[in-house]
Amino acid sequence: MTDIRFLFRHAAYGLGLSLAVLGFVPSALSAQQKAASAYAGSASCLDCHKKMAAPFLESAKGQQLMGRPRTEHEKKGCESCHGPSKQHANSGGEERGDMIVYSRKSPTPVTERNAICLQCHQKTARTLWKGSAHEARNVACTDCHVVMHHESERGALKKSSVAATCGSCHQQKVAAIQKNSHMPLGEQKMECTSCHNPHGSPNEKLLIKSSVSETCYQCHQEKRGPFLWQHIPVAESCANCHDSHGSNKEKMLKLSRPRLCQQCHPTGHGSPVARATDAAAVRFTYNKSCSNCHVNIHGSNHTAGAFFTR
Amino acid sequence: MKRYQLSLTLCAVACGIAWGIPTTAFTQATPPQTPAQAPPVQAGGITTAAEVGIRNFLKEPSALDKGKFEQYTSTQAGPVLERLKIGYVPKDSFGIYQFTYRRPSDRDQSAWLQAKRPGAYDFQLHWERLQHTFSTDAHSPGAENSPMGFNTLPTPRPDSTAWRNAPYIGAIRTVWEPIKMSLGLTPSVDADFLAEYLRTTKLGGIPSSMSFNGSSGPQREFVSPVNQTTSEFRIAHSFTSPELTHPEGYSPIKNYQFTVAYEYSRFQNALTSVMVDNPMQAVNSSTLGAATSRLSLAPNNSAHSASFVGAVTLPLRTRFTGSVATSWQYQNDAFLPQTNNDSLKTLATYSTVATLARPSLDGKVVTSTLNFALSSHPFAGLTLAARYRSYDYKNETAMFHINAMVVSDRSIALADSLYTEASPFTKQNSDISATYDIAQGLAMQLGLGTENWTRELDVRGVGSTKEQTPRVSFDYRGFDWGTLHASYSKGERRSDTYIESGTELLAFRRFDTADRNREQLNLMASITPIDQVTLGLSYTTGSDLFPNSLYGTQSDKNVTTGVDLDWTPTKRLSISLGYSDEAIDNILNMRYRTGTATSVTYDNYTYRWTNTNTDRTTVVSAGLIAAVIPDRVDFSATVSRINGRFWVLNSNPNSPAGGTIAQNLSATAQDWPEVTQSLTPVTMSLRLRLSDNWGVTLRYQAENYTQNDFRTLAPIFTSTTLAGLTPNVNFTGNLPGNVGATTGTNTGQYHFLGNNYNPYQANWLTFTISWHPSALPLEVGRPAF
Repeated sequence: MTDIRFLFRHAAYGLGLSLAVLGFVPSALSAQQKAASAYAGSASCLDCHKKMAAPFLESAKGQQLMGRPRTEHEKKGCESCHGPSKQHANSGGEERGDMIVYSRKSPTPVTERNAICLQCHQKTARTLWKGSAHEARNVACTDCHVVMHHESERGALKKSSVAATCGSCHQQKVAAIQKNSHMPLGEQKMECTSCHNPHGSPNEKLLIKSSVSETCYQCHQEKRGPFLWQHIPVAESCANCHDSHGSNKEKMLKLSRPRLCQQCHPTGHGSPVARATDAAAVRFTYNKSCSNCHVNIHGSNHTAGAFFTR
Repeated sequence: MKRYQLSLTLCAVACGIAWGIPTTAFTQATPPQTPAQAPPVQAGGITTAAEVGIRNFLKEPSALDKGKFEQYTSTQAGPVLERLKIGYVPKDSFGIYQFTYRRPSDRDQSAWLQAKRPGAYDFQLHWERLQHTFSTDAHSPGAENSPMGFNTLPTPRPDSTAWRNAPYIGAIRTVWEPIKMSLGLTPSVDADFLAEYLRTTKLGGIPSSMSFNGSSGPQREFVSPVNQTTSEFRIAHSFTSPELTHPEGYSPIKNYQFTVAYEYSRFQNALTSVMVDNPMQAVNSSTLGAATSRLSLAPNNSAHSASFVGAVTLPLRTRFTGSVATSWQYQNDAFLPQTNNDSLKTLATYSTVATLARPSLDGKVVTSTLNFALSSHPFAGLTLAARYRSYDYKNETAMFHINAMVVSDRSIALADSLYTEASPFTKQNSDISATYDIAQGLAMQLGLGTENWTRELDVRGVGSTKEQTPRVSFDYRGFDWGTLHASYSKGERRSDTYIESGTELLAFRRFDTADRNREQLNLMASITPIDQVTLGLSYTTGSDLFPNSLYGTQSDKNVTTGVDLDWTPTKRLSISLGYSDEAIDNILNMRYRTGTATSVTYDNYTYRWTNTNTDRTTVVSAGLIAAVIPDRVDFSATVSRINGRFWVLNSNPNSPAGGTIAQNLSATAQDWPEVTQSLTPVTMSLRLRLSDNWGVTLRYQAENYTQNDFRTLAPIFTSTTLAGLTPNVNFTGNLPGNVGATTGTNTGQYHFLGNNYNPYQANWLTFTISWHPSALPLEVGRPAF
């Protein structure tokens, strides 16, 4: 109960501070109302950038914006994303003017660039972008996505696959999925987005389900149960025993058995040796180790399976 | 065989289409890397692209060595259809209609169909077949009584010679076939509706294992059949409001979004159990166990989930989000009988296990998630954020009492009278943070995270744990040539109490509930000195210490270093280099126990031992993509080296003493042999574009895999004779089963399939002809990072 009070007290501080600021500080980011005269029109853009725009014009986004815009904003075509470009066009491309570019060295702040994208893409999977871990780290939409040409089959990604795109920053995870025991991400049978929503999630580690275990149950429903005999740590988190990104141990285990099991079950069958000449070592260390007998370790529905042996 | 016939037919169809479609009808289903070369789009036409050819091994792994090579993919010699793409351009040139089929000539393949009308609908159908190969070198003396099941043994039971000379039983693998359909509708600019259906079948087998008479054996590894189907149905509706303006020009709510979703998931197992013959018993015995024992397989289950996610944008770039999600999980399969050992029926105590409290579990679990988050940028340079999250797991299954339990089909143990344990838990997280630009380009964040667990004290021994983790981070963007990031956190987790069970070591603590001090340091740099070069550097170190655990996990430390370089010196050349090194050290304190609770060997101080798990992984990769002659000759090459090693090192602080020689010897810790794995995949591709319509590609691929795991590879087994004495039997080679038997008898206690991922070397050439090569980007192979 004390914790809840503590949590709410700190949350209230944050909320109070925000509201106080809301009341006294004038809006810092009102929508920029650019004069219509600052816009050059898409035709003007294509005069010079026709080759660059060709793949974009064939994409769904290009067809929508350039072919059948639904809103006043979409009717601006190229300038719905790049902003007013008349000055740029009139200067023969010499001056940038108010135009927005999306390169890594863009002078336009990331938050402003992202705001352009979110004008149309804030719903569905991106509802929780603001306040997300990636937003907090100033990640730009264009760090992962590219719309002017096609690098990926789907998702308008900057690299050929989701794993390669995420790996631009998460090099350690890319290394992990190449370990001996891994899920088939490198083989492109699944993606980082099979488990994570990089655009924001209410769950830990940007998971798309409410918990680690519920995320794993998407593919491994057979371990969901409920079972007559539950192995409690399974329900709490599959990550208690498995490293889902990859491991040098069999079954993506964090430690090799029996050491993994001995973290919680120190006695009984425990043995410090691996001598093949020791009977205990043979049955508790070799092959599947503890799971030589406790095979239904994720849970058993057998009435004689209290110890997960049936 | 039908699959291959189908594949060949598709190859023929693809070739036919490729030859039959005139050049002018071509457009790019997936635009090429050099779009300028593509012919113009024509409305109302069919577009095609295909890559067909032949693959041949220069060096092919033997059937027994293909386990790891074919773990998730299959690569076979012969005709190949790498890719087939068919597109349709509607008459109004508005919409995307495309079909892609990959690798129909191989065991793993995929197909994707999309029909999209921007702003109206998006229908997708995605089918995949993937395999999970567990081994290709298992052997067993059993008769094949079901697909992949060799679980029936002859009578009398095979002796040790028969086990060791047992025939190979082929690949043990499970093939997954997921098919997913989704329909997205956009009835207005503000709304999206999505309906998804996913059905996955899993067929094949998986290595499993069973003990027939307790921990001292006999034990047998076998192939458990897999025949499962899962179905998932999900609908979701999202809405985003337009900019909200008050008539007087001020609105406290700028806009809002919400998503409501419902999901139903069902798991169906066609098999409720698997019957496996006892390797040492051919007749039922009330003391030695059953001739055949039953292992339960995963029961059918289902789950409903509903969620609501809402977000409101307030002035000053303030965003408030909240979500509620609930899941109801059910399982009510009929219980299996406790045993099929008829001989136990003669026992007076059999009546205690003959009846059950109810015929099935009627299991129900409810999980609930609540989340609130607020983030605000009240003025330039300041970001405030607060978050609260609660996850509640409640097992609402009525308690189930087992009067007595049959142990390993050999005896009835009244002492094992058991109640099921519900063990609910609640996990609460909160986080507050403030980020401020303390100098030009330099942002500092201060934050405090908490994680509190509440568990069932009687079951877990710990009622609640509380963890607080303050953190600080710095992001520097003052350079136009890169960004720097540093973060540090230090947290403490403490439990309110710990109830040790009677059999636990004094001051033993489980790692997941023990008091823990956690430190984490992350350093990252992304450097772009010129537009053509991006250098990523990362260094992460973490440390978990368990200060109040005399026994159990003592520490868990990791250090990871990474370097990643992308260099594009010209538009025609792109080079990438990567290096990653990870080191993990986990230390565990333990004490060997043997004998009764009152014996000197039960709690013998000198029987303490310490285990250090050391894990090391190094990944080095390099890649190159070059347009040797622009729009004519492309070349790509990638090579990686993945090295994994781990050691399980054990030592005694004191020399074991006080027991018998044999007991002291068993308590004497010993380092385990090193376990190693390495994989070196190489891919080189050369593509010549003969014209806009035609291209040829020559691809060379090689893989070199090694592994050495003493647990499954070439151990020297003996009978139960202790070290130092003359072993009865030596055996070298993969685990063949019947370990410990005297030659010519069936007295061995441990019977393994001898399956393992063997080392292999493979290299092969693929020559393909591409129709419209610009629509088929040159793929770089396995190390695609």
